[in-house]
Order: sequence, then C-alpha cells, then structure tokens
Amino acid sequence: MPPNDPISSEEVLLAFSVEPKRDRSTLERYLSQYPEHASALVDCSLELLTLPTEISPVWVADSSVEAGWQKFRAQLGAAAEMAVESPFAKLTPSAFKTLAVRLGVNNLLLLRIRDRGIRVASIPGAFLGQLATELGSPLKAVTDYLAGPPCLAPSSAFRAQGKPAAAGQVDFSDAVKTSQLTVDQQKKLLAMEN
Amino acid sequence: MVEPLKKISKKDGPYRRRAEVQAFLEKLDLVDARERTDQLVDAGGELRADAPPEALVHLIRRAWREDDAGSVERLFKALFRRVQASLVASIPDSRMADAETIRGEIVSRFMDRFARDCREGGTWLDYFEVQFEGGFAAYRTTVLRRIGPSTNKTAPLMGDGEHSDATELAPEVEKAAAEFFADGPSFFDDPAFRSALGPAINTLPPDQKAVIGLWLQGIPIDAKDPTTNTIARILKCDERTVRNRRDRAFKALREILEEVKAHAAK
Repeated sequence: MPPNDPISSEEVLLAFSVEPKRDRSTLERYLSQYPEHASALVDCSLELLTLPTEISPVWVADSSVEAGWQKFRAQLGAAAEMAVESPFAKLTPSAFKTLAVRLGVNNLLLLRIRDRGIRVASIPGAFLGQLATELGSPLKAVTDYLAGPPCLAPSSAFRAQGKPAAAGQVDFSDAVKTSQLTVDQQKKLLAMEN
Repeated sequence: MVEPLKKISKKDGPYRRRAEVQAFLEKLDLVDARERTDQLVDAGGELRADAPPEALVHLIRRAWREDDAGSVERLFKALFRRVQASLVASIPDSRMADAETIRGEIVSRFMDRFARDCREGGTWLDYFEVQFEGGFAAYRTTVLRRIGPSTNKTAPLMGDGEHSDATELAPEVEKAAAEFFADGPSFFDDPAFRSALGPAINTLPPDQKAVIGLWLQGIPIDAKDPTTNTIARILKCDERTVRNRRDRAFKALREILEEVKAHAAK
C-alpha cells in the first residue's frame, strides 16, 4: 500500500485488537492517530472488553467443515492460478499500444487477450508464437497464463452498483469479428486459423 | 527455525508472537510435518485444548508454502472448527436475531484474507498469529457495524418510555447502582466477574454499552481539561446524557453483579 493511502478501518481495527496492552492509553493513542475511525475503535474496544474468557468446542457438522474446506480449496486454487505471472504485467500503456500495432491488432482485441477473454485453444499457433516473441516470454509461459480463468483488468475502474464480474470467454474468430478491427486486419488474423 | 512475523507495527517495529505461542512453535519445529500436525490436532479433527490457535494459523501458512497439501487440509479443517467455536462463544444465537448469518460473514472475510495471504505470501495473517481472538474481535466489529446493530437482541431493561436519555433515574436507584460499582473498573479484572458480565454487557442497548464500556476502560465521563479524552467527547453527547446512560446500564447489570459477588464471597 502506498504510504499516503489512508489505512482502512479493517486494518486499523486489526492492529488495535492485537495490541499487547488493552487499556485506556492504547485506546486514546488510536483515537488520536485515527480520528476518522473513532467510532469503530470504540466499538472494537468493547468487543475486546467482552471477549469470551473460555472457548468451548462446539459441534460442527462434518458436512459443514467439508463445505468450508472445498470453498477454501477453490480459493487457494484460484490463488495458485493467479500466481502465474502475467507476461503483460510489466508493459507500460505506450508499450501495450506498440505491441498491438506490431501484432496487427487494435487495443481492444489485445485487452481481451490479456484479460483471458479468449479461449486459448482457439488462438492460432502462429499468433501465439508472434505474441510470445513480442512479449519476450517463453511460449509456454504465455499459453499457461492465457489458459487461466478470465479476469477483470486490474486497472479498470468500476462505477456500477453491483460487484464487477469477469465476462465469459469467446473463440478467437468471434473476438476478431467483434473487436472493431478493420476489414484488412480481420482478414489477416482469420487467415492464421488455416 | 520458526519464521518471524514480517508485519511492522508503527509503534514497536515487527510484530511478535506471544511468548507462549513462540515457545510452542519452537517445540513443534523439532519434529516432522506429520508429527507437528498430530500435536496440534486430535483424532477427532479438533485443535488440542493446550494448543494455541495462533500456532494453527502459522502451521497452515507453513504447510501451504511447503506444498504439503495433506497437512493444509487437516489443519484447515481444525481451524474451521475452532473459528466456529470462537464465533459461537462471542456471537451466540441469544445475542443476535441472525447470529448465524453474521458468523458466516465473518468466516467468509477471514477465508478471503487467508487466501490472499497464500496468494501474495504477504503479511495478511500476521495479526492472527499475534492474537487470534483479538483478530476476530476486529472482524466482529466490522461486520456488526454493517449488519448487526439492527438485529441486536437487547434486554428489556425498563418499561416503555423510560429509555429516553432525558429521563433520569430516581436518585435512590442511581445511588444504589453507583455504590455497587464502587470498586471501579479494577473489579473488571476478576475473571469470574468478567466472564459473567461480558455477555450481560452485550445485551445492553448500543448507547449504554458504549458508555459502560468506555467507563470500564477508565475513560472519565467528563473533564475540565479540553485535551482530555472523555466519554462525552468521544461519543459526542453531553455529560448528563452520559451519566444517564451509565446509570441505566448500572441498574441493568446490577443483578448479575450481585450474583457474581455473592458467589465470589463464598
């Protein structure tokens, strides 16, 4: 987190809640440092004050534990997939535009590729090879990345009320036809499929 | 070697585990992964009674880093049970109308944080290795502030119309309640008192709970020095309102106090 970013309420409360001394001076220090979170800090101090002194085991259905594990495993799986580094990650905006030009596509199609909105199996091998060369990455690294689930662009801003969700994937040919490419660009790209 | 925590505290530098947790982990560090898990988790899949939950968090992170899928699963399931126990103790069904939903939301937030820690290999879970229950108190606060207050099951302390801040208690009630709390906040350190009063405080209406909570932490009701933190200033209300809320809370809690004091005197 950049140093000037305001610290979130959750982080302030977590830091406060693990302080070794839970007393008036600690509460006052936090109230003074984070006046914008004063009300939450007071509430948190009450939660800490009324912490149960004893935690007794409770009966938890095996099915509930298993469901919790499966959900967590899915999150870890997603974490592992996301850990595959994006070969696009280090491109500056101008380098991204230059890459699009060199590949004979526009920014929109390249964005759809980067965000894994196109099924990797449908992308012509020749195009993938050219992409890997231009990115300076091994072909396998590029295909491994593109084989991941579709994702939201990290730099995108969302103003919709609902939670943003990644769109589904389409085939390369459909993406070419729906990415506002010129007729000439479309012809060249579709020809790669043969 | 037990990897030290990396999260940095503004005031004290790197966070450190409590001494007993650190000692527990160093002991486990001498045995192999299978034995470590056995020493933490019993045959029924529960965290052993003498094992701190902070150690469980540490070992799941370690097993994940070491790609030990079997240990991650077994330890995670024990953690899941332990988290449920912690949340049932702090948010019992008697406290909230939809306690189960609130507990579910807290579990979900914790799991999101756990997954993020695995994904980024960062410091997201360091707090939970320092003070497991404290970390959940922070989550409870966040979730209860968002979806909890409207569903608080408050105790029917008085008849209709008597909850108003402007309605003062009869002087004799106020005097009796204040005398009962004459021992002041230090009495709160008594474990027997605390274990009984904590749940009782949670049944108070939020405004009274805030006042009694701050008072028990030693914050004065009011002060002439404008730089002193007082309950009235923190809650942005006048001194008289604070006193009224405190006295109402005293009255409600008095019955429990009497019982605990009588028990302690035996």
